[in-house]
Amino acid sequence: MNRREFIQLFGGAWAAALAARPLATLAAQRSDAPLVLDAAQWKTLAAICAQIIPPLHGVGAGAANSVNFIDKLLAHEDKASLPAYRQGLAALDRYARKQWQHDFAGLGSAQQVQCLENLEDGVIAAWPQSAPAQQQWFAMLRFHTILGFLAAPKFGGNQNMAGWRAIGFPGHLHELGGISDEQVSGAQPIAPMWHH
Amino acid sequence: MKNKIFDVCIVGSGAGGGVMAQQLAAAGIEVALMERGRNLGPADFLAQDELSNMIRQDFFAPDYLESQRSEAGETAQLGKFSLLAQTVGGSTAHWGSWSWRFRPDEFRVLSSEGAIDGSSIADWPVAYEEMEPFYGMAEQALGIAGSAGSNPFEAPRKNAYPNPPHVYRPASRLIESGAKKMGLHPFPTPMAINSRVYGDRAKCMNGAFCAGFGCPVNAKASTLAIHIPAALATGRCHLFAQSRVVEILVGDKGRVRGVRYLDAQGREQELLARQVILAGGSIASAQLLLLSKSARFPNGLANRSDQVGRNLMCHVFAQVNFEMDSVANSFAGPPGNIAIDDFHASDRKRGFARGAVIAEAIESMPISSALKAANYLGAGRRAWGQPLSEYLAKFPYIGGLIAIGEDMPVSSNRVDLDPTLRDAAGIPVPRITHKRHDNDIRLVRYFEQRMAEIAKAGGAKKTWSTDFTGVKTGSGHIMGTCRMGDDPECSVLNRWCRTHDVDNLWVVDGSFFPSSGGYNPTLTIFANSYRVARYFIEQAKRLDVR
Repeated sequence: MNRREFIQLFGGAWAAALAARPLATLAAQRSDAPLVLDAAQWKTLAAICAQIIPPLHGVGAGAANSVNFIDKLLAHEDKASLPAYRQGLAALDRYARKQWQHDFAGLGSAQQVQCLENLEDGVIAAWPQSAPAQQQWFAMLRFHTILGFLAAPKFGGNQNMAGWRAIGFPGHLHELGGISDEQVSGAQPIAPMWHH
Repeated sequence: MKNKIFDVCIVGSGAGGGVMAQQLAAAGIEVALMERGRNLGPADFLAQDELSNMIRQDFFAPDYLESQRSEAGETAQLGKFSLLAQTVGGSTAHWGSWSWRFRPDEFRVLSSEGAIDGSSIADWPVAYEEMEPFYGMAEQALGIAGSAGSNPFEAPRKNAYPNPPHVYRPASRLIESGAKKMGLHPFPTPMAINSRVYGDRAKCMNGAFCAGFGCPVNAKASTLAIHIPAALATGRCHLFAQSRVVEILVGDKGRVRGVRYLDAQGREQELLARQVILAGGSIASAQLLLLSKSARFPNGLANRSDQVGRNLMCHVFAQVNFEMDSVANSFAGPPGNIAIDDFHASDRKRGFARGAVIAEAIESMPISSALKAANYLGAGRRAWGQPLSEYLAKFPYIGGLIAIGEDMPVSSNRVDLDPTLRDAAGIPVPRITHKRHDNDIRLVRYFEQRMAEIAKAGGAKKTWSTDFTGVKTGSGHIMGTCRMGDDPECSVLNRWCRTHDVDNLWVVDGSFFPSSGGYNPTLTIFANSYRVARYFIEQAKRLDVR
């Protein structure tokens, strides 16, 4: 079996059935279109993700499409967090409009950073009771953004292995049949997954 | 099988249960091997990824629940304390494979140290000399790659390792260089991963998804790859996968007569056996004994001493990462290839008792690495935005060291049954009550300093620690809960891992450890199981099993 057959045989839906969050994985493999977030929520969340991991080597959580990962997660196994996301995104946009007269996504980068710092510090005044607690929600946003940047592409983020390329992780070497001892020792270079 | 009576029922298929199944079946004994997890194999392991296996931990334990708290009186919250695999092969399917022999003094901690306040330290009823040949058997069976004699501080051994050590990556060489500059004695970490083809198992493919993952080519030793196939080949071992034992059945003479279990469809079944051997791990075995209450055993089976579930240990880890000028290759090869044992021996002048082995820990997992950003950045910087991206860009240059510290057994650190939380089958979840002894914390601080010194001496640009002492978390190294001892008043098992209270009930997983040793525990579970199996087979006639 060559590498291509190997990946075809063990890839796709079969892998999804075994992996964590199988429904979200299947949804992610079906479509990159929003499943549960509306256009405004998607836009706000995408802007948040882009600030949490700004580009390194030219690629950040925006280009890796972390927001798509989160949308699929909220559509299925983590749908318990969906109301918190909806309320939180609305509250953050309200706060942005009140302070700077724009939705979060329309703010300049410095204002977006200020906004998220205030959220992380839990100091946004008049934050609605119905929204998730500021600091806990920020921690969740940060966690999900990192997952969307670096979890395997089958989950809907890290698209085209963008996150792995950005940080210099060569990918799932086990899916390629591994590497040689000379590559481990550094005597020979390791070809990353996307070169295969 | 309704009325069939097996010679032996083994509950759990990891290091303890897998060896027993193979050894007993080979000796002509008919065995039922019960495993609550799925029967996955190398092809399935190709589908693994970090999110499933490490972050969510739902590849190997998809529906497993525990609750935890730090002290009696608190209400326990649902949370993961243990990192254990529930699959055919048990945790040997996903272990990291570091394979050490405990040192002779680690079998007699109380004699070496004297009493320690707040700890229930005890000697083992078995000495190193008795274990030595069984360590040798385990090393040969697993195909340990290592270099005998390269660690001047290791326990005396009669045999060499069956396979040569693994190659060093750039990060291993930095550690080697630093250690040598400090006058220390670095050596290749002994690992149960094939450095060459061994028996019918492949050479390691250097994929670096080892600890927490099943090996797609069986280069990593496991009961799944070695012992269970051998047991099944005898025709005398019957594997029951996705069969969760929920009660040990007690007969009218106070002996056990089999188990009640839930099959793959969730239906209740009974399986009868003349002898029952528990091997489901230190949490599940204690849970099962406590669940098996009866008029004769109102506090749970084998628990007249009130020791079942107590003295839960999980090791204490110190971790230091370091940044190199050039690529570390921490994402390639086996899970850490070099070790240093110079600081292992206990020295009370250091301000704590006992010690640890230091070994290279690879930084192979991108998400887990990203989640440690705050440790690199320090308290003054936010762990997101520009600082997070700066840190993530360092990923290829990061290497790591870990110390596997002997933690103090404490009687009140325990597993019992949660009074309110139940799992999907309606069974009380195991409740973990665990608070670290101060000695554990002092040990960690000392080893953090030594590891940072080694990395800096080797030329690391920067070092930083990750603190595992302050969080409510256990590990994959769950030990204790049914300690072995000569005195039935303060131990659950005798020196053969048979319960003091019930003469046809045995426990051979990590539960039996009276103390945790400063090394990963699995080789000792393997070796002990070979030791108990030999006794069991010698006694088979008297045990009423052929």
